[in-house]
Amino acid sequence: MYRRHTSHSGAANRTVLSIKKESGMADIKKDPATFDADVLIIGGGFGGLAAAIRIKELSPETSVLIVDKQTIGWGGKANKGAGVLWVLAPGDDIDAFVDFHVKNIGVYLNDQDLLYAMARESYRAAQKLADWGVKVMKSPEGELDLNHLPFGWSLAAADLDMMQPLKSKATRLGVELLDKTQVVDLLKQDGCVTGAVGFSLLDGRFVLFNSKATILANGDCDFGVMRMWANACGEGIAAAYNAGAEMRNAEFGNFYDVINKATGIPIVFGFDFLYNAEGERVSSKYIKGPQPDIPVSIILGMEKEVLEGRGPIYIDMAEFVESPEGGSGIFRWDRPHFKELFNRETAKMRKHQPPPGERIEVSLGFTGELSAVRVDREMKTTLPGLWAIGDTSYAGSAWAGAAEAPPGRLRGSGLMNALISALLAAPSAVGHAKETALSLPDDQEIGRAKEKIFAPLNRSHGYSASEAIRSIQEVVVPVRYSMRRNRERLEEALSKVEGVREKLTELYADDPHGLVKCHEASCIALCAEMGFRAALARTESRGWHYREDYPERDDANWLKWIIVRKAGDDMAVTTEPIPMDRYKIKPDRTKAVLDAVVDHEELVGVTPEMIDWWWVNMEKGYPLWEPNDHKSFVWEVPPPLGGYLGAIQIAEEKMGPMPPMKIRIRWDDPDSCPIPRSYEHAIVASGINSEGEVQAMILHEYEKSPRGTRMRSTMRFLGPVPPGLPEIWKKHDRAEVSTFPRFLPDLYRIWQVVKDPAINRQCSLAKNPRQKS
Amino acid sequence: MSANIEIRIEECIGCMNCVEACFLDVLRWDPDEEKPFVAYEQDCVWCFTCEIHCPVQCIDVTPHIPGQRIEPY
Repeated sequence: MYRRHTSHSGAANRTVLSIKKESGMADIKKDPATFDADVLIIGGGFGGLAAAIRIKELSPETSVLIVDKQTIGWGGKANKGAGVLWVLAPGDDIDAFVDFHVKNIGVYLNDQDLLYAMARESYRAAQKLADWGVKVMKSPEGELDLNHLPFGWSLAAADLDMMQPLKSKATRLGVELLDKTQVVDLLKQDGCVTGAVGFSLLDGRFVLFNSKATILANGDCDFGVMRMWANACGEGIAAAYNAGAEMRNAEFGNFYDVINKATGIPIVFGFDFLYNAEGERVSSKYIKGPQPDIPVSIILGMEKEVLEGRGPIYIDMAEFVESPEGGSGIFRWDRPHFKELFNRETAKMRKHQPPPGERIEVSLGFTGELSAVRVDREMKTTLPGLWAIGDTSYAGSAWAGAAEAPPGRLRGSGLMNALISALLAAPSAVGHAKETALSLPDDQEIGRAKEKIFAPLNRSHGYSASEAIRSIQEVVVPVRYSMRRNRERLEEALSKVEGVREKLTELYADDPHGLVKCHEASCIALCAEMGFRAALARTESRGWHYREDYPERDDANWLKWIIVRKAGDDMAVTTEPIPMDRYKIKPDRTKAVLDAVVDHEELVGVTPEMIDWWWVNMEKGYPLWEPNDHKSFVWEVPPPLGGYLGAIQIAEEKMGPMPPMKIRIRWDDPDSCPIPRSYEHAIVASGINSEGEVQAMILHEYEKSPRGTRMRSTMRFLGPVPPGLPEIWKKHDRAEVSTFPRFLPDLYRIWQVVKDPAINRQCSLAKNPRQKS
Repeated sequence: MSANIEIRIEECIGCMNCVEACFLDVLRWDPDEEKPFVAYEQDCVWCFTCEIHCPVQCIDVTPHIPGQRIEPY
């Protein structure tokens, strides 16, 4: 029943078990329960396999053993999501990306050095994955087939069978695999991690690992809530914490996404297409400006709508499906395994949801994603001999800062973080293993470990693991505890979690499968406490952490990381200043104003009066105005009779590599615009959010020239500037204005037969020119 | 979560793909019969991986919908 791999590499001969049937079957009872390895990797998901492969590439003589509680090549999270990898493409502005991330996503809690390293390595890492045999999507020219996103980064993609080539590559390189074994605790000698202990799911035997270097790669804590991540129970986090390692950014383990209410399936990027029961668009109501991913405001907004009686919340599927985010755009690659899973799921769900294109009731799905093991830039934890990679240390590494993690408001960064962290950990772990001898535990320590691990099997009744897990879920899932936080509710949540933790000594199990559930319950409860304690300590709002009682960001007091560690039987919470002096991007640089200026070619045959007319009659010829970039147009507030002020348009425009975006633009008075003006005619286009707040403004100014009109456009960015956007906008603006001579004189002439000013609107934008400043 | 899992055992060729693919220990292997069996159905999250990777398509997973989900509001 078990395939037997025998290896003679490294310090000892080992026989390792995999569940897959093959020749050379072994009797499990006779197989040794002790495994020695130069490097032990706990968790055989995407990150664990990547680390193992890289270690073997660097040092073929180093023995590597991967242990997983389920089956290596199938477990983990990588093959159960969208299969996308966040990358910065060659030529992308890394400085601009880091600047944008630190200011708008990580909100200064980033380890900026590691963020740079992630950005620099991402493209090469994705290529390496392809070199290892994973089907990474490529163009006919052999380059990565990237999907550029609006904020200056891209997505690469792999098909969902990605784990199989990684497993094959690892075994070809001599990596040994041990399935169906739950690791419970780490072993230490003289403060250094020397191995781990656990048990087999198949026969319940005690398993001992002796290792020179140990890498935690067994994921984050998703609290067993979302079905595809049900296995991520924070076992690595708990093992590191219990061994004395520091935790960081535990307050950012509270991720929610929009889900289909009936099926619970996430609707990624669905947050922009939501309506309440009254038909009001709640996305516009709560989301200010374009967002790189789901913002906190829509989660709070959805809760508010429901609590105030305007629920349930719906998604307009027709609108979503047609959008770039809705499937055909962002996830456009041809991936057979992804498609097969998607089609199977869709077919099974058909009877549980309305026909395609109709509105679907949505809810909020809590995932959690607590990933707090603190690591440095080599993925070393604060314990010698212990590394943590992938989701185990996503937030703890701090590259993502104040973002829920993963996806950390960068879709695809879960996979990319796993990959890069594996590449960073490998040389460090190999170096350590080469300089370290195996240390074996004494019998007393083994005895204590066995007693702790198997205690639930000695009880026939008591506290059930499923009840414990459910009780924790009832605390972490509600928005009022995990997102709309305040002191009172956080203390209430902690009290409930403590109530569960007190009863964990009464857990009972019937068999090794049940024993796994008991261990998962303990880890989930520990992670919940860690998250709530860190959230209670941070008395401000920042990034993905929102405190109703401290709604403002407080840079004076909170440019600090929150550190959690075990102190005897207590959980100690302390703070550590962020080394801002060392970092390039500092908070006081956020208020810069940036102008992008385009001086257009002379518009031959176009008069300034025609352009005046155009601004208030745009619906008559919008697709003619740079046809590649302009998709749809509607007046939300039509121009007033004889004027233009206050008119609001919803314009769907495409700029450069970005997918089309619907932008809300209001015509404003140039006299109240701070941009200096030189030409006679002028209009201000203000990009506004749902509350009418101006996010960016464009001054179009023009006057008569010898052959037509000369024109200048100036865009002023008031808030965060996505990397590359000024140049993208300039190109777009130049293109659209350059089409005026091709259509505007004819269009203007044709409409002169319509004399009704309510239909053929008239407006003069000539004003006295102001001095250039 | 959870689901009903039906394995039409007479059609099963004993490839073990389903047991290997299950990431929640729901399916186990019967060494005497050399066939899989549903050991912990209550833990199934209907990922459909066992269904998809069954070469003779003899597995049918029927999700329990709606499950006992906790209200977020």
